[in-house]
Amino acid sequence: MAGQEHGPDAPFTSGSLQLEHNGQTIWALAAQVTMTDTGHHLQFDIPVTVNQARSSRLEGLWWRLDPADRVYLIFTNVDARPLAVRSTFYIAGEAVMSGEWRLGPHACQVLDVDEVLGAVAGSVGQGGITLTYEGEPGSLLARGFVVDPARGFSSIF
Amino acid sequence: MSQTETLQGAQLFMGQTEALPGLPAGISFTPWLLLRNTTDRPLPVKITVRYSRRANAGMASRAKVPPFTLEPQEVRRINLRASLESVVEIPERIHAAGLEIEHDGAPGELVAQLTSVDASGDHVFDMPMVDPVDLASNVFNYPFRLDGGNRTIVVLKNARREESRYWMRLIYEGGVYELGERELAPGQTVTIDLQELKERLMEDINGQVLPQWVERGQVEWGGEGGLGRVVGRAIVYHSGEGVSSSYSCGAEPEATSCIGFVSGDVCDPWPKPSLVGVVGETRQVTVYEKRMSCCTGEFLRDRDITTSSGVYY
Repeated sequence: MAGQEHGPDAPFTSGSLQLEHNGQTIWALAAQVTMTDTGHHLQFDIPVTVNQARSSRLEGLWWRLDPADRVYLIFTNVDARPLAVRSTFYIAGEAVMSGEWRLGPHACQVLDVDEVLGAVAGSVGQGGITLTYEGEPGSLLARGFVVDPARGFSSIF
Repeated sequence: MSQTETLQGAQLFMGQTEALPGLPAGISFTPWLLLRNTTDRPLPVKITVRYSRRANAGMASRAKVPPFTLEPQEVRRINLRASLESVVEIPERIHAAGLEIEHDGAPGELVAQLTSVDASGDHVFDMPMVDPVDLASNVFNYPFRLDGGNRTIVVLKNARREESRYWMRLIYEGGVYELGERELAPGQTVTIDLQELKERLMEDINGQVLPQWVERGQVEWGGEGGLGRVVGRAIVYHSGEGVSSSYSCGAEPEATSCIGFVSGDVCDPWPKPSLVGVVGETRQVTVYEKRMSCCTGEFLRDRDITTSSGVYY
């Protein structure tokens, strides 16, 4: 997709993808987005899934192996209406940081976990994340990335 | 009465492995398991690894991490190999390995992730964890790549403690390569190297080989005997570029449109011949089970069930 035209704001650095098809069933098409930086030996996979969430709450974890690893959390409003999102980060079982985010229609938010947690993150290697939102179940998708270009390390959560 | 939830993962890399041809000699992986208790109460967890030293080794060996309890909202990172070796000796070279995580919580209350990393950090393989109960289909399709140094390994794990069966075929432009139906021992994980199938001119069940020009296509496989008996994924990797992808179908808990197969009996020759004959005449009839995907409506495969029990004609 890097070679595609993206309108007056090109080139983009983040965003979301929505696929529609006219297959016999919703399962007739499967897709996955792969972002590759072969120069740094980095690759991230994003499965494109049929959105069937039953709750307006997403639970996950973040982690890193090395203090040099950068951790990013990306979440996307898949609806055409604004969406209010509340994030809570946990370290050692304790809620250490909460934040609120207002996402415009189909907007995408990228969080650098170190910047969000600040000094609290320190040398911590893992923690929990809870995202809650006010929209319909399935209105929010989230994905995390761990990356260290220097040693070619990349992983998703 | 409490209910036990089990998350399963097919093919973690632990130590040295022959399951990833083309990687640097002597490369060794550390499997990092991350677990999060998303509840506000303690959550007991049991972890089992079933592994085989060699390809097609049949029944898998079993090793267990000592049971432990995650505190409320705890996230724990575990060096899985080190945890297992605290209890039992683990071989340095393991060909195939599957992971099972049992907990007493409700679905979704335990979040799990496993990532195998080599010492340099350059070779990274994420292993998705699935709850077989949530799988909405018995048929799965993944892309495969054999172009430009890419390799594809298909990994399947028997999620049950009894024998299971699976079938597989490769669909490429202008042809189909049928691996046919195979058995999996309880808990067994198998790996299928598609490049090896091509390079070694291995014949499929129809005596055909995978053409040397084939570089892309689809892997289609299915488990026999019910939903969630077999879990699997495809690993596409490029050793030179140090990148890898994992393709698998996630759990689709509310799916109702695709819950397996419809099937019907078909006689050979088709259409059905007239079976009217004279008294005393003998006729040979071959009976096929013909399967159609509920997902796409496509006819998937035929199976000769002439000699199967329960077939009457």
